[in-house]
Amino acid sequence: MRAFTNFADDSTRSLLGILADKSSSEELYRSAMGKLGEALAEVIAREFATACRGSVYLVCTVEDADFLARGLLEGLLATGVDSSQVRFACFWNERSRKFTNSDIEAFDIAPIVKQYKEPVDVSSTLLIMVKSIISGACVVKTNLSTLVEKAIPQRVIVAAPVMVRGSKDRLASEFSPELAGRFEYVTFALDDPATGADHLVEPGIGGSVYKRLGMENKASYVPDLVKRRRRSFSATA
Amino acid sequence: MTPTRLSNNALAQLVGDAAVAKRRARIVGGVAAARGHDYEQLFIAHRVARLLMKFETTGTDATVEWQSAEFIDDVVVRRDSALCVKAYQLKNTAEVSWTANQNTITEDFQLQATVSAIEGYTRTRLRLVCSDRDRATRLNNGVPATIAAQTKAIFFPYHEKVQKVIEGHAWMRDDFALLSRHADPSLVDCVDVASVLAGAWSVLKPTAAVSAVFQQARRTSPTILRPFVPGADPAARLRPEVRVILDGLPGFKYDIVRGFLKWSLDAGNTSGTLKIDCFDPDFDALQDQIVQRTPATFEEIEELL
Repeated sequence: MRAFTNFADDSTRSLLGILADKSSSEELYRSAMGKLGEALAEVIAREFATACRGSVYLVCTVEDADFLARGLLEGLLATGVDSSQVRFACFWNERSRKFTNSDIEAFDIAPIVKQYKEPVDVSSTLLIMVKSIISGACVVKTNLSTLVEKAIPQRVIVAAPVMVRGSKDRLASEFSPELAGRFEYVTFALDDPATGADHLVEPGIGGSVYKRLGMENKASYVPDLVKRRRRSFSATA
Repeated sequence: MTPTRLSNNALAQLVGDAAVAKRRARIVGGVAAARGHDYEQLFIAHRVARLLMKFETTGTDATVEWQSAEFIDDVVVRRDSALCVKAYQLKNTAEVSWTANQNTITEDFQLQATVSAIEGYTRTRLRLVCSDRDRATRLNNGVPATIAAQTKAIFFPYHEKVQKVIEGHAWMRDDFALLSRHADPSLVDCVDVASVLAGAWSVLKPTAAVSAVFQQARRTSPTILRPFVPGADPAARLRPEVRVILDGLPGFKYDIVRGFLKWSLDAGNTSGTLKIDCFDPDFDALQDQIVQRTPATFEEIEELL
């Protein structure tokens, strides 16, 4: 069952409806993800205005880069954040959820196989971890753990159009109280946990985000956002 | 000579019917109580990690048993070829003593030592494992004389989050790190090693060879553990013609680390490690693709990596 948060308005509810609707076209789905990214940026810029005046580190996974994260990045820039303030990171994770015939329900790992990370002083940044849906929080935990191993950011915003009930606590419990105390969450909807073997949340984001975005082989996918920013960084280096 | 497990009848003649009956009761109760027991799972994963290192250096495999038909039954490690057995009783509590419940633990340790000797083991080591460090120290300082020759009490930590256990104990992190595909693994990489070993064990339990756990883990996720291929050089798996192509990519650096091809671009903003090792048949297929495409820039090879 879905509950909307105070951050949700008519527009974001409508966009979430497009994601949940399994008949939405790939193009419409991609567009809705981008607009939800922009909507997340509006909330972040409004609720964390002071933090947004300093260094911002936007972090995502490969499937979200060209749609949700791009929308969030453009949304931040539209609210007055200067592009020179923003650094970006993208991770490719190899997900492995459960062993066949195992009784370990909680087994869930997401090792990083590839990454694009612009240099940043993590200890003095606002880290925004954006993901289309946060359910088991395994991918977010892996990527965040990697980023904060040597330094703790000023603040961490976990931003997702949809989060599963309990995922905040699950994520926070993986980290030290010092770091978990710096977590903030921005989401528009809370759904119940998945119950099926496919691990898909209902209504969630309408199934597998890879399939809905038309990204059957995420391992070989290189987001345009990564390509553009890498070119830009190479040119200025 | 190979150790021979005693039948229940032989066991009853040796230690008495009452002791055998008590052991049977503990097996049933133990399985039920231990189901999904995170403490035991992590302990076994760590044992397997250490035994794998021994397997790699000595070639000696070991068999791990969980809830074994023994007096010390939580975890039993046998290396029959070396006439060696090591049995662990796990207590995830500070409320444990050698003498509680009419010397139950001491009696079990005595019986286990006797049975193992009769079965033909020449080296029997018995361990009481406690999740409370101070209690473990006190227990180890007070091992009863009747079992002291084979027995120690040791500390093994517990937290409901595996990551926090490993983060808080450098020795455990180091043990898992040795099996990682990364030469300098992060905390999460070490947690992944523990998780994949625990998961593989859970498929094979209650009894499995350490080598089988390793193979199961690598089948399930070839991305976590480094390969064990004795005598083989993974770097030699990279064909000369592929090296020429990779060497010619501007800004591209690569190396074979722990059996995996690791790469980075320019200052390292973009980097990765292949999800399959150099001995994997897919690595050959990848090399075929690289030769076929003959990329001249990183952008032309990126989607293959």
